[in-house]
Amino acid sequence: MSSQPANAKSLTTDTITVSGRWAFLGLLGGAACWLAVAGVLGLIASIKMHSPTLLADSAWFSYGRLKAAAGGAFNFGFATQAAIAIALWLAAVLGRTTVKLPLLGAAASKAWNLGVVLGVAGILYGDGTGIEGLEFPRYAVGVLLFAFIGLALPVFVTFHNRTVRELYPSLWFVIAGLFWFAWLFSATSLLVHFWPVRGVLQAAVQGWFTNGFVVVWLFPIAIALLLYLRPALSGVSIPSRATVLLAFWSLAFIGPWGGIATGTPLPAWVGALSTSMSSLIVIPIFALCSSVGGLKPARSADPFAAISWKFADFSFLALVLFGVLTAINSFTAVYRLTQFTFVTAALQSLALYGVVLTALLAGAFQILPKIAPPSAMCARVGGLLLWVSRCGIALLILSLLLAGLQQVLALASAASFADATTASKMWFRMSTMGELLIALSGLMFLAYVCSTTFRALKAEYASCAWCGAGAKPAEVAS
Amino acid sequence: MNQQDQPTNEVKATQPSVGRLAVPVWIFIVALLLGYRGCVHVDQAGGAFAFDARIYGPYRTPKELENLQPTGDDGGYKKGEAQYQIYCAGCHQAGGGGTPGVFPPLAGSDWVLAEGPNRIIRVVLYGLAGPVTVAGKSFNNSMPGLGEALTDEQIAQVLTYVRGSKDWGNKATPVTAAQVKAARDAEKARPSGKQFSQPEIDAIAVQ
Amino acid sequence: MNNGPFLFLGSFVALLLSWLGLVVVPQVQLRDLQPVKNDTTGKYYPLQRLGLARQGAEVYRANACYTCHSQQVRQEGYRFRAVLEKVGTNETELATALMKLNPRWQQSDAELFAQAEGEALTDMEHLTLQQKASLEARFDSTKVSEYGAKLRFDFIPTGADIEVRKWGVRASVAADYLYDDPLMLGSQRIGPDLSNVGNRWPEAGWQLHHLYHPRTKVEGSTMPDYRFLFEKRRIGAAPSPAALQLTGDLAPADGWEIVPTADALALVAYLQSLKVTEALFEAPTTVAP
Repeated sequence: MSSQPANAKSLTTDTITVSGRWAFLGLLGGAACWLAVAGVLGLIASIKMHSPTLLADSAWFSYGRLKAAAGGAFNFGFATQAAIAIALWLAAVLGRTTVKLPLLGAAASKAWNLGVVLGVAGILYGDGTGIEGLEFPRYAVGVLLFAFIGLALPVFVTFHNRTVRELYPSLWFVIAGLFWFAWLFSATSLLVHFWPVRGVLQAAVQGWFTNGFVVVWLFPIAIALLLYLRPALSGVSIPSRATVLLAFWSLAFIGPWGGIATGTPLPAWVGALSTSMSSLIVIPIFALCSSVGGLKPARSADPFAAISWKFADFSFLALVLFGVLTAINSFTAVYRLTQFTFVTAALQSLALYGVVLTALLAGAFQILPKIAPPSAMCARVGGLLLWVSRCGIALLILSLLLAGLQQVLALASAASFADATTASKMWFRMSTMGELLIALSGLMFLAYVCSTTFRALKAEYASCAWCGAGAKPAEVAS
Repeated sequence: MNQQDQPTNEVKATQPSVGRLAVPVWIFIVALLLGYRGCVHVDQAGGAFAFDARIYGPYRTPKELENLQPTGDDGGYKKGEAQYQIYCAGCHQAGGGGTPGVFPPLAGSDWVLAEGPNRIIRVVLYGLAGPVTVAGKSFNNSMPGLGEALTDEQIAQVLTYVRGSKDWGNKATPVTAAQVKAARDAEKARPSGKQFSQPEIDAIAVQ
Repeated sequence: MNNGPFLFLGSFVALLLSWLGLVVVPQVQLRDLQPVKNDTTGKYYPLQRLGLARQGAEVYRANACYTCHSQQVRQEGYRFRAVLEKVGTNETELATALMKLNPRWQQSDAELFAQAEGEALTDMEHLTLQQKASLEARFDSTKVSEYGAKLRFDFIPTGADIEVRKWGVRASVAADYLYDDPLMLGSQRIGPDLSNVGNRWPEAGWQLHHLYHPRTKVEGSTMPDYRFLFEKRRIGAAPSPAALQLTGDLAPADGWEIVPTADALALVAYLQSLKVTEALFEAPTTVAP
């Protein structure tokens, strides 16, 4: 395998993927563990919603701590790590170059995981900061900030060494998304942990971060993947470059403004401006719709192409739904009713699970099968995972949405407040089912990554007697 | 599996390309509509684009909030403002600027801001007619007296507002009901409804 | 767009704008916010939390209570209500004066109202600021005040949080959170809003029993039990006065008692310290008569 430009033509997606296998396996392995952990923590929290005496004697498992820990494990442990893996892969594949500094990426992912362990354990222990979405304690954030340098560096170096000078649209989103995340995370960490701002200004910092984390960090990576995967798997090109440009710049200038609801006790203009801007999020989403929305998958013998396509389809649908619901929710008559109810939680799950989780899994099923030759079993596990996770996510979002709507109706009819929460109890049971399926898919994904790692290791040491014979070397192509 | 990949599929997957169609117009229409709605929202719920740090929902302007503060003793200023809107703003305008050449201004007017209020009280009680000079400009019109319609207290309130209006930059002393009563008593002989003229007013010493 | 520096610069400017708009400008506007002095009581608002209440805020933070409880009251608008504070000595004159206020009232209505001292006037409970000002002026022009009659206008903040749920008396504003660190506004109301809970449920015993087993106090509550904030111990020489009064299934075995830990007492002190009723310039509560 070579990174010389002269040999660039001989690089295929397979050989590029194999060149960075340790980075991908490290990142996706860590991500898979955290998805399973987040699923289990979320599951316990969800059960507590309808069985409030469960684990009542344990401070570590109080509802608030579980929710915060599950959120931290998902956002930082799973989503960020998997997004870095996808970003690295896209940078290499679209730049037609081998993955640079793969071992630094793998090592940094270990450091990152240490940071997330500290963060999740810290929250469960009672060290959470109290700022929603930024609950990781200071010692965890310090580790994460350093580890992030190691995670981002391979992506930028790989991008820098690209042999195709023309930037495919996905790369705009990847590079800008990484840059935005670095700014969002470092700036808000400093303002939360090192030079804390006073009073309601913490709400401004928190709103800016939690919205930006989803809309200008995870969404750009999901969009980059959709922009690559949909044309690639349908075998046609993106019809309009101008429309994708519009999507990119409108996301850049509109996306980071959301996150602060009208009525937040900041000066009225802040919330009103933020709410108005959040409704405009449909513009980049509609632009994406018009550019890659109508594509159909090409016939392919590869079972993983079909799995990826279906995950990506789900993600795309969720993205459009998220845009439309966010726009509707920005109207005064609507948000006055939905604010503080489960409708907000449903919208958040739609973004994190519906859009991001499925897009990242779609990417993972493009990367992992190329690292080590998958068995027929792998394709079956992949197919099962597709169904379990799609059902789980749909069930969770739907139940939260229905719980929220029931709450809205009960509150509007001036029922007592306790009645309004009790009324949605049935939907909480349904959401527990959803959390269970998501936790299961986390475990299945973990099993899949482990088996790929095992086979990659076997291929690596195929020549060793103690590894057993018969394993094919993975780097045939080079 | 690596080796079994469809070659055609693989080639396309590695070299995605981008076409050159234009952006569909409907996206811009959606953007315009939502943008307009956003501006309305900031105007209504965000303090009317003033970006004022003292404005929190549901209030819109500092002026509105001032009207909602506990009154305490403001010498009748706030009540005077309400009276002014009913009895005076029709000619002298809500901003106290009058109408050039027709109705004299009250904001910055030498008549209003005189050291003592006794002249302007008489103008309100009996009205004013004929040629007058206000702030260096000439007017010739007729103002009816309000002595019958308003009580001493109300006249004091409205004049306190006019003489001290923060919005217009007037800073003269407030007027009391006793001062109005004194003026009424001094002019007992004057038939009601007989308007003053400028020479008559000028003949009275400012108190 | 194949120009790396251009891509970088554009993304930089895009995020910079939102950073300035949502974080930096509010910081500049609010960084000099100071407590305000109430001229009537001479006290400053807000005050820093001290002692037990301050420790309680840490318990609230550590257990992420803000996951289910918001601490912000939303106000949708406001209205005025006309109240006849004093009827004075001349009932006939007052009835005539009242007739001028509302053309829909009959003579008999007005006469009836003229006797109802201290009561709100029918049809005059939802007045706007403009309506209130014009009614006030019309009433003042009738000279009934000379007979001692007085009309008062009550200022009433509106919205479900305030009028239906009674979670607070006015909109929450930045000044209310001046000393909150961390700020725990909350984003969900799985449980009720707590901004003014110190005034609504001031009783420590109620709060402690509610924390131990919420369903003893609120039928059908979904709030989890916080038993780890309590200690089950053998009764010593005499039962502790702080022990919870539990009955039925919840009661501990004979010879045992359940007492709140320091954390539970601190948390309750914090809840008791959550009081927002002060009128501020940016959030008036009532207009004095």
